Amino acid sequence: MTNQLWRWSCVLPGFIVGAALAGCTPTVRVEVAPINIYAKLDADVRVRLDREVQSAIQQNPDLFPQ
Amino acid sequence: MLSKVIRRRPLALGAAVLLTMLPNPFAPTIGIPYALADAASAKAIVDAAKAQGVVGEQGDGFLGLVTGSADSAVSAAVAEINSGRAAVYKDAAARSGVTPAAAGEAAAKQIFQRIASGQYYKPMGGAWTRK
Repeated sequence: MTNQLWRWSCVLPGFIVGAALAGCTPTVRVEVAPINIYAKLDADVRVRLDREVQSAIQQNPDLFPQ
Repeated sequence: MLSKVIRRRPLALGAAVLLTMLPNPFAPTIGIPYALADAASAKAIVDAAKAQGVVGEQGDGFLGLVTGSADSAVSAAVAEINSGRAAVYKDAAARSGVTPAAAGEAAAKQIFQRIASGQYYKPMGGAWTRK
């Protein structure tokens, strides 16, 4: 029960802030610099991406140096 | 996993809401390799061109022409492999929730480790460099 309350107390502000931000910024900000898109990712996303890319490279030996 | 993120960072859901507004559909995943039959011959041509210093690996995860131009067979082989790679990056990006460009950069990081010495690579924002 308290667990559920805690969850909603976290979810609702996040939802409201998200909606508010979406209302204030009608244009999607596009990253201009071609450099460091990868470096700006969250660490956990980077780890997942690295794993996906590594298996994709191994599964496509005709497209990537092995 | 998602609920863990939400609990840790209350703003995560707000960010997730924003993310859903971006054109980033999670493509259905397919388990077959993207390379077709003549990709093998394209690779042979590209490997030879790499050894000659005509073709190199770029920081965006794609092949590039070191000298800026090459004969039509090499250019065609580069284009074919690059289009195959683009499909791979799109898929890996969809699985990871990032842009294909980010997936290409992540791949370049791993590709650079596999470049044979004497061959060329070009880091993001840098110049062609001989390994």
